[in-house]
Amino acid sequence: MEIGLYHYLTLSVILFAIGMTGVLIRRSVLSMLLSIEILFNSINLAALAFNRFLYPATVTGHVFVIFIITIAAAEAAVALAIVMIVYKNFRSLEVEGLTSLKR
Amino acid sequence: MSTYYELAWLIPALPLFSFIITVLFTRNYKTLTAWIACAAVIASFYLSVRVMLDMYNGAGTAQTLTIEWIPLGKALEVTIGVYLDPLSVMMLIVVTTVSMLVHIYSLGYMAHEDGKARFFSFLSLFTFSMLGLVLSDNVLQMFIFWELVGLCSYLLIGYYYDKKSAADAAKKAFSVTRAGDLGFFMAVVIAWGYFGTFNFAEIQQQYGQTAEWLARAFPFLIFFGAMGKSGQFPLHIWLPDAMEGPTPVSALIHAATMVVAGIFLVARAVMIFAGSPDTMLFVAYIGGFTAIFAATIAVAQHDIKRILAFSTLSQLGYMMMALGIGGMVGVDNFSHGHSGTDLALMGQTAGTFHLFTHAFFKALLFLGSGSVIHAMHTNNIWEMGGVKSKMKITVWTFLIGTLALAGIPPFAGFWSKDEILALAMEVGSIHGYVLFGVGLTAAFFTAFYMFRLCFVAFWGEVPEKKHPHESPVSMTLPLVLLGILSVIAGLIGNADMANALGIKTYAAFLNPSWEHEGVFHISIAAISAGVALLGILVAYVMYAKRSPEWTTEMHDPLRSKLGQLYVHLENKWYIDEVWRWIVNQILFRVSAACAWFDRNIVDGSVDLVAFITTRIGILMQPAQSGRLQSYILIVMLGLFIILATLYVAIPEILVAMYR
Repeated sequence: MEIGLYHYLTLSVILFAIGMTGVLIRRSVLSMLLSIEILFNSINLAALAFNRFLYPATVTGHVFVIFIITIAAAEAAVALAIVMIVYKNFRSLEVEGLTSLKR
Repeated sequence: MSTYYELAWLIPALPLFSFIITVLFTRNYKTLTAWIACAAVIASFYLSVRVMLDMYNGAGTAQTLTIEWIPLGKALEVTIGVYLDPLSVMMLIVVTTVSMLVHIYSLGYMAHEDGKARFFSFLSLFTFSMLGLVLSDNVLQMFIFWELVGLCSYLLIGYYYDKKSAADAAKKAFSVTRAGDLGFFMAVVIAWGYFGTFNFAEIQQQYGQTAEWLARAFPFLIFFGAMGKSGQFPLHIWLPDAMEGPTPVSALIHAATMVVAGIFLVARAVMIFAGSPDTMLFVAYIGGFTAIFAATIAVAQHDIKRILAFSTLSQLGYMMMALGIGGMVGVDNFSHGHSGTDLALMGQTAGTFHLFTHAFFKALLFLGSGSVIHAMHTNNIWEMGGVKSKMKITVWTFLIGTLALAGIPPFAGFWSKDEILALAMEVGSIHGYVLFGVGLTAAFFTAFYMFRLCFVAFWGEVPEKKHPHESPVSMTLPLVLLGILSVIAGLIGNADMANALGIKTYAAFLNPSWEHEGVFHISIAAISAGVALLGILVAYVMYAKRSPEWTTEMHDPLRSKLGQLYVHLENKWYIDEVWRWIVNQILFRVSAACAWFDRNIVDGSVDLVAFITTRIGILMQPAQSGRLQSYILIVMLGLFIILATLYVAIPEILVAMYR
């Protein structure tokens, strides 16, 4: 069986579902960040697959992916810094506990 | 166009600069402020004189500056201009002369006041406003300056703002004149709405073709504004109280600024007024009534400045009467061989000529009274007395002013007052004769109350514990100059006198294209002078033996002669009380109803909107749980719902996405 677009997309969807589930059910901020990285990569995979199978002559998908990777790196840097501060202040990384701005 | 015409914009601008500089930078330097203000007004005076000389030598009417202020094409074009015609140039002379002398006088009078800097700043602003007003070429510009004049008089009447009576008088002046301003403002709106222009000349051109109601309403509304400013009955009540301000301010308000604004406005629009004889008849009778009404009140007043204030009202009534008499024939009619247009111009000449002479002797009288008050520390004439020998310059110049006001030849007031009376006879008809009688009666009262004032305040003995002394030279100098003007200013009104002096008459200056001279009849002059002398004689008999025992107003010999009538006069015919009743019983109730509507209906609807918003906010609050994951879940559910809906509604869309 030749591996085609649909296989890639199916893998991308599975990764997306895993990532989203992680974001939704994990209580630790750190785990949520990891899940978000999985989400990013599912998107990357889909973008590359589309580029490869639908528009082989262009590099649009590649450019997208490089952008996303860059932004993900920057986001990780900022987010991890925030996580550090949160941990310093609350001595915990449980999202449920971070409600002091609610009212 | 002459150089000085082109510089005419500086005449109002200099006091404005002075105001800006003094208010921003030199507030803490009292003397410097005073000198800046004086320098500005002296420069303005010099320029005005040069402009007047150019005008006299035939430079003609000119619009020397036009700034497009709000250029909105045909819909609304607002310009600010400097318009020089004989009338405005005459006013420039009056305003700058009196204002300059008042400034100089104030150097002495206000020398020891803490608020001297503030005082001089406001004087500058006042002068600027009035000069801007007289140079206006359109109603809107005039309205703006009109309001500025009102504001300045509010500020200056309320100069002693920590004194309750002064603060009240300022508020009264402001609100009463505002009532009149409403009429003027409506006229401005009409000018734009129906004539499509604010320019006086353009309105006048269109005037023949307007609807009847408009031809009546427009001048009436303008006159309503003039009634408020010029203290015509029944809007006169603010003027006597306005003497709560410092005396130089009273002189300025009564002689050259505030109150003559109304006369000037009617004189400026006199040809528009003449298109509506009914309105002019109304103007004439209101003026005549004010003249005699205020003159009777002045007979039984005791405050030196209040007597002068009522005499101002009376003289303003005279001016209005003159304007009204001239116009009441109407442009299309004839009377005694004069065309209506000619008569309107004669009315304009007589009215503004009286304004011209009155400015000098009324400023003189107020400044003189200020000098006396300064020395005697009281306003009550019964507490004065005997200053005749102590303050020679003040008293003698004051007497000149009194003679001028009473209409004794050859002083200024005689010529101008006589011209008005002669005009009334010239117009003829029943109205002319009635108003002639009114004017004559008012002249009698004027002579009487002015000499009552002089005899009581200056004759007799100096009361104990009072040490009157002559005022400093900065105060007496303006008095002397105004005294000279009060003697000679009237001569230019009479053709023979002017010819003898080799100068143009006032009438020829005001209307160069017009062959008429001011009206003068020796018989009428003799009658009016005789009546004035009679008034003086009565006052002499009653008051010349000024007894030192007359120490309060209860000793007035007139009181026993007039009985109850005297009390009515003393209470100013209860007009203030009538207004108080109207304001308390009618105005305040209407206002209370409006306030209720505003608080409950208008504010209530706003509050309702706020209340609904708040309730919705509270309802929505649980959605903002602060739980990050529930937000994401909602976003994901939303996305799912959108996609599912799209798929159900248009299944091809997914195909399209794959292309």
